[in-house]
Amino acid sequence: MPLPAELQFELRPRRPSRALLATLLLVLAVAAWLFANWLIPQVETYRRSQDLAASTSTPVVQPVAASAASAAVRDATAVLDDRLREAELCVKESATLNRFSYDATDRVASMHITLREPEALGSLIGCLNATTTETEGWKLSSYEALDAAGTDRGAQRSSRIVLSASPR
Amino acid sequence: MLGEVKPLWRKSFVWLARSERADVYLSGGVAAIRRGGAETVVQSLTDRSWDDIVDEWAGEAVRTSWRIWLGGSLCRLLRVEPIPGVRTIEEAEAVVARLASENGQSLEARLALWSARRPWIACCSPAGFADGVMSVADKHRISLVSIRPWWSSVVASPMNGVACCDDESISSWHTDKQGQVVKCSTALVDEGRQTQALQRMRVSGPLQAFRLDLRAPSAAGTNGFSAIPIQERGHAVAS
Repeated sequence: MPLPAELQFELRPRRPSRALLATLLLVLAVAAWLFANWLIPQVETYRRSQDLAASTSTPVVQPVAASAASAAVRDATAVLDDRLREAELCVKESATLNRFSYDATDRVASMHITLREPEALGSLIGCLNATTTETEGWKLSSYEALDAAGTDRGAQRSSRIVLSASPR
Repeated sequence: MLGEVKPLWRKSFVWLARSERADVYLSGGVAAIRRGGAETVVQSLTDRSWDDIVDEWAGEAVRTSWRIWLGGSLCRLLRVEPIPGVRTIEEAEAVVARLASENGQSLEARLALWSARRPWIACCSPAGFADGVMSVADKHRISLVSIRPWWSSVVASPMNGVACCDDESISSWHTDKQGQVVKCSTALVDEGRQTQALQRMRVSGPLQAFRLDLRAPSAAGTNGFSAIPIQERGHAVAS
């Protein structure tokens, strides 16, 4: 029967012995060496795969010009839609919008409005210039009284006005 | 003031190159050393202190590894009932050391095991003794393999009671059927009165007694010094 565990004293201070520390260092060194031996081929393989992928893949040609043009059309359309929507909100059913003209940047520069109620012209201009968020406003370029053809369409006192955008 | 800075590589090579092993016995009255298969050198501590002698031996045996074996007043067994509130083995050792130091001598205690519910069994030695041994060893680049009671390597515990006699004490313990220590103590008794003391101890029950024999070769498969059994009604035999 061995000596009871309660009597197996060791009076040295409780701290890791140099042998234990040396063993730990040795184990760590071996582990680091094994890890390095594993890691270096992994990195090299990855680099080679990257190089191979770069040399065999077909370069994608970006349609720069088309992209720029599409962006311009998209922007112009957005502006155009905004202006048309503003105008439609103002004229409602009292007038008809037609004959748009555009400036160099494809923005609506002028439009013809056929009014069925000529007395509504003032309020229409005020509405257009009040609701617009642009720095430009609308002004009356010309006014033309319609002939009897308008009567045929049920707009006896209709008038045709031309509005054009102008800086405020 | 800063001490000498030793290069780490130098200490490592010292450790790797160390092969010779020596066993050193220390008690309150005797110091002994046995290097390898050489004869044991025994010196009395009546005129010189243990650290003086050990320092001399260490100077002659630089770069060896030592096992320190303690006896007598340098390793006294003490059994203490568990004290509530103690939560770690270090706290228990501090409490036991304080309890053991009541006679005026400052002691330090070491537990091999600790439980909050079971009695604590401590090995008590003079305060600072283990640090002193470590200091001498570091000074001479000696690797200390262990510092243990001398009986821990040579005495098994085959029966209920065991008594271990050295030059100045009798350490004894009794175990139950599960092999757990139920009673233990160290009595400071010089060699001349140990026979009578053993006879009194045997009155209460069977006791297997051993005597430390510093000069006998160590038995096969054991470390340190040898112990010879003392038969009942016999006399201590020292070669």
